[in-house]
Amino acid sequence: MRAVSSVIVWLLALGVSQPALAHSPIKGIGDFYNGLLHPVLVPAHLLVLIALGLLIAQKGIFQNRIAFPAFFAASLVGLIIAWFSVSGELQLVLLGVAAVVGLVVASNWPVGRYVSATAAALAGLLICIDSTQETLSGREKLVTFIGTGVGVNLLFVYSIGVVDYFSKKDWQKIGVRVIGSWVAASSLLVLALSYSVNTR
Amino acid sequence: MSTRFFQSLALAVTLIAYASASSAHEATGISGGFASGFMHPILGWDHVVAMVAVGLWGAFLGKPAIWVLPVVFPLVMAFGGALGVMGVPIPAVETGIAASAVVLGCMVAFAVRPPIWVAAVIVGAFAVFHGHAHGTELPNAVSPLAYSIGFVFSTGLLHLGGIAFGLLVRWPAGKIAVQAGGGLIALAGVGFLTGVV
Repeated sequence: MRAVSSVIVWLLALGVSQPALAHSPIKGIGDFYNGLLHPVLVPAHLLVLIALGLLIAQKGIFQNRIAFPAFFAASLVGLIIAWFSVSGELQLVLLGVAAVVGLVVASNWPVGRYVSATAAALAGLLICIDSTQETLSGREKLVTFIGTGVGVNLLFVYSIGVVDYFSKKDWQKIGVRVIGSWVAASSLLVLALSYSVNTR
Repeated sequence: MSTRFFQSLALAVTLIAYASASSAHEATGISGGFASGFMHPILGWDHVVAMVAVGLWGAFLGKPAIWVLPVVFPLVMAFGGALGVMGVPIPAVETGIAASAVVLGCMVAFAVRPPIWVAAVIVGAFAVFHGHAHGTELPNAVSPLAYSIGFVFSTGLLHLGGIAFGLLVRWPAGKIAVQAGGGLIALAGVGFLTGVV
């Protein structure tokens, strides 16, 4: 009797524990859409994608068209790496990328198309490696990864498209630079916090 | 008796652990971090008037100040925030914030038009105080990144409000209204400095 009650208490205690996730999956929408929405639910991913959209639209889509295949290929490689590995803490690296890209946009620093393409490829690779799904396996994991791949690439294209559409007039170009400074400022603050915590 | 009591207690504690708070909406996680960061500058009138003054002055000075000041401010504010996060003390932060309202308000009220680099240095110097005040709250935030995005975004929107109001300078009556707005901001700053407001 005592053993049975102890087992019940132990099982209940086990039930309380939940898997450690970077963010909670949305229930009821399925694996594909959870994967699709993954970059939206991770602020660091979203920030980097916005920063890239600002950069490539500011420097010209046609001149920087090489960034599109670079990002797509890198995101594919990133997902393959994520499939076979457990993600480390990449948020700070992503924020470092966002800070640099944000500063380039804010200062309207002239960068070549290969620099833009390299930034896009690096961001695509890191975002997808950081999108690992440790609690999933098999078909569920595959479907989620396909969703993430589609979501990341769509957001990359959408952010460039939206920024390009809204940066025709002079004041809109100023707005792009202002938003670039916001991205850089937000990223730098969290990097400072991380540095502060690590050095204490 | 005691064994049974402790078993019952363990069971009760475990069951309590299952219960979660019933809320209409959650102020936790990313959304909570963003909301608290977004509200931080808005809930402090000293921050609000100074940010509006930055936008007003930028619009008053025209190009390129209209975009240089709102770009410089968040970047220097991030530097001040980094100092706050790392616990580097800055003397008289609250006085600096109140003084920013006085100085920037006076710049608008008296239609001061310094070279752009002087305006950027003045605004940047005050941005350090504002950033420090926000940065000291960052380590306590639920989601530091969402908090920082929230307060930078909110600060930018306050600049935008000032710029929108400042664009009235195109008309003679609007110029008077903008200068009067600068005067009110300066007066509010005096109130913050003296503790009246």
